[in-house]
Amino acid sequence: MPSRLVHSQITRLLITSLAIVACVFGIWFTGRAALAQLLVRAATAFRSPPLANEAVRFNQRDAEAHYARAALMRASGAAPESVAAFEQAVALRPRDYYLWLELGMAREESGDASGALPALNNAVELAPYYAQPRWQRGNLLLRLSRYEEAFSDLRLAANSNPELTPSLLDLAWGVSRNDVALAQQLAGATSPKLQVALALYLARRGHSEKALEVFTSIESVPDEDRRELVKRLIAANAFDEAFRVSAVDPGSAIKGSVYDGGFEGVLSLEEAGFCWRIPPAVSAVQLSQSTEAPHTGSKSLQVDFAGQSGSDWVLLSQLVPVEPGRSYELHFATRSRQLVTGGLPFLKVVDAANTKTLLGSSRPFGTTNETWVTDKFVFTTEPATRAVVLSLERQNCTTSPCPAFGTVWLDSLAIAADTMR
Amino acid sequence: MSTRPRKALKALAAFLVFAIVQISVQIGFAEPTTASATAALPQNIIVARLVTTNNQPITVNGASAQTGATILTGATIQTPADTGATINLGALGSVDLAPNTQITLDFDDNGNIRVKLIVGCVIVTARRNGEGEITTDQAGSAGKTDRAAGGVLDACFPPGASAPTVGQGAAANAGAGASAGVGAAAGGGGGIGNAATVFLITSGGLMALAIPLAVRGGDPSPRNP
Repeated sequence: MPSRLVHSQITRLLITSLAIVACVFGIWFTGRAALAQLLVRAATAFRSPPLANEAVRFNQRDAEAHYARAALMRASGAAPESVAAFEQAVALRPRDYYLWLELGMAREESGDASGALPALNNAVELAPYYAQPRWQRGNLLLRLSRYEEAFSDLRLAANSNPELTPSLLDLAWGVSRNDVALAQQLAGATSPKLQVALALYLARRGHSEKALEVFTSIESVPDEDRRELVKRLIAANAFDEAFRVSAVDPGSAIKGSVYDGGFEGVLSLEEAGFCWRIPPAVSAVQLSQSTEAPHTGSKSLQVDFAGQSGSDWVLLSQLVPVEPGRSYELHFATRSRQLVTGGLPFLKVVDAANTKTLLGSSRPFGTTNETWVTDKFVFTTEPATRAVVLSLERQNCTTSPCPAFGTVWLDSLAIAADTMR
Repeated sequence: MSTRPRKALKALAAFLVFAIVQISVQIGFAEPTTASATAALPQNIIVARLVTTNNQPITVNGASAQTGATILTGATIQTPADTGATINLGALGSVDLAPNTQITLDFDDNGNIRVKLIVGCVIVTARRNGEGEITTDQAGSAGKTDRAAGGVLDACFPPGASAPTVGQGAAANAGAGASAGVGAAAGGGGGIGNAATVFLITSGGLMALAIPLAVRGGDPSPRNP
C-alpha cells in the first residue's frame, strides 16, 4: 500500500513537472514570437533595420520578420542584400503572393531580371485577379522587350484597377512611337470608354490632331466626355480640334460666327466651349436675359450696373473659331438706360492663344435713351490665330474707384458671312 | 471484292483526304495572327525603371507611378514633397530626383542622358561612353559629364532662381534618390536608436496585453492589390 502511494506520488510529480516544463517552453516560444512581432511593428514604424534584425533573431520562423528586414534593406538601397531575406520570407510563407511580388521586384532591382520573372510568375499564379502582380510583371516583360506578353499583363492589370489606365495608355503611346492605331491595339482600347480615355490622354499631352483622330473613330461619346475633351483641347490651344469636337454635327460647325448672338439660349456659368461664358461672380454687376423689347428674336442680354466694379473685369465672353490672317466685321446692337460711369462698356476681340494681342474693339456704349443703336467694328486675325475671344468689358477709368450705374442691353451680335473680306 | 465497291471506296477516301485538307487549311487561316502587331512594334526600346521612396506614388506624364514603373524617353517626371525617386537607366546610368522636383528626361541608345530641370534638385550619373547633361530653360546647359570617363552631375534649381546651383552637392543634401533619408530613424550604426528604445520600454509594460494580439500575425499585403 505505501509503495503504491509512493508510486502514485512520483507519477503525479512527473506529470506536474512535465506540464510545468511544457508551460515554460510554451511561454518561452510564445513570448519570443510575440516579441518578434512587436519588433516587426517597431522596425516598420521607425524604419529601423536593427530592430528588424532583432525580430528575426527572436523568431527565425516568422515570415513577417524576414519580410520587414528585407523591405527595410531594399528601401535603404541595399536591394541585392535584401533578396536573400525575401527568399527566406517566401520559403516560410510560399502561398503569399505579395512576398513573391516583392522578391521579384527586389531581384530586378539587384540586376537579376531573369530571376525576377519566375518570382513574379508565382505572384500572378497565386493572385491571378489582382492588379499589382500583373502590372509589375507586365512592366518587367516590357523592359525585357517582350511587348505583346507585357501589354497582355498590363491590360489585365488596368482592367482590374482602372487607376492604372492612364499609365497603360502612356506606355502604349510611348512604345507605339506616336502611332495611334498601334497604341490603341497595345492598350486594347476597343471600348468607347478606353478610346475616350486615349483621346483625353492625347489632348493632355498636346497631340491634338491624334486626339481628334481617336475621337472621330468613337461611335457615341457621352456629353460629359465631349466637354472634357473640348476643355483639354482649348487648354492646349488646339482650337480647330476643339471646335470640331464640340460640334455634335461637325458639318454644321462654321468658323467665324458668333454662337447665339441674340442671347436666345440658356446662359451657363460653367461653359468651357464655344458658347457664352459668364464669370461666376462680378460684384455690383448683374447679367440676365431680358424679354423687354429685344432688338431681334425674343430676348436680349441685360447688364445692370449697381456700383463699384473693376473696370478691367470681363463681364461676358465667347471663344470664336476663326480663319487665320482674315478680316471680320462684327455687328451688334445696344441700348442703355441711365448709364453713368467713367468707364463705359465696350466689346473687345483678342487672340485666344495670346490674350494680350488686341485684334479689334468697338466704340464705348453711350447713352441711347433706351433706343436700339446698331454698330460694328472690324478685327483682323494674325497668321497664327485660330480662335478669338470676344468679350464685354468696361473701359479703364482715369480715376479710382470707378463705379458704374444704369442698364445696358446687348443683342444681335453677328459676323455676317457676306462681310468677310 | 468487285470493281464497283472498290472504286466507291477510292472515291470516298479521296473525298475524305480533300475534306481533311480543307479543314486544316481553314483552321490555319482561323488562327489568331499577331504577326502584324509584332511587325509594327519597334525592335528595341531603351527603357528605364522607376524606384520611389518607400514605394510612394510620383507623377509620370501626368499619371501616378510607383516603384517598378517603366519610364520611356521624353517623360515628364514630378516628385511630391517627402518623396524622392531614382530612375535606373541600366547600362546608361541613373537619375536621382529629390522631393518637389520636376524634370523632363530624354535618353537614347548612344548613352546620352538629357535632363531638363524645371524645378527642384537632381543627380545624373552617366556611365563611361555615355554623356549626361542637365539643362534649364532659363540658363541652358548647366553641365555635362565626360563621355570617356562618365561622371556625376548634381544640380538644384529652386523656384524663382535664374540659374541652377551645380556641383555643390545641393541635390544630395536635398535628398535626391529613392533611398535617400530612408533608415534615418534607425538611430545610426548598429544601435536601435532612442525613439525605438523608448518604444520598446513602453511596449514592454504592455507585453501581457500585446501577446494575444501580436501572435495573431498580420498581412503585409497592400490594401489595394
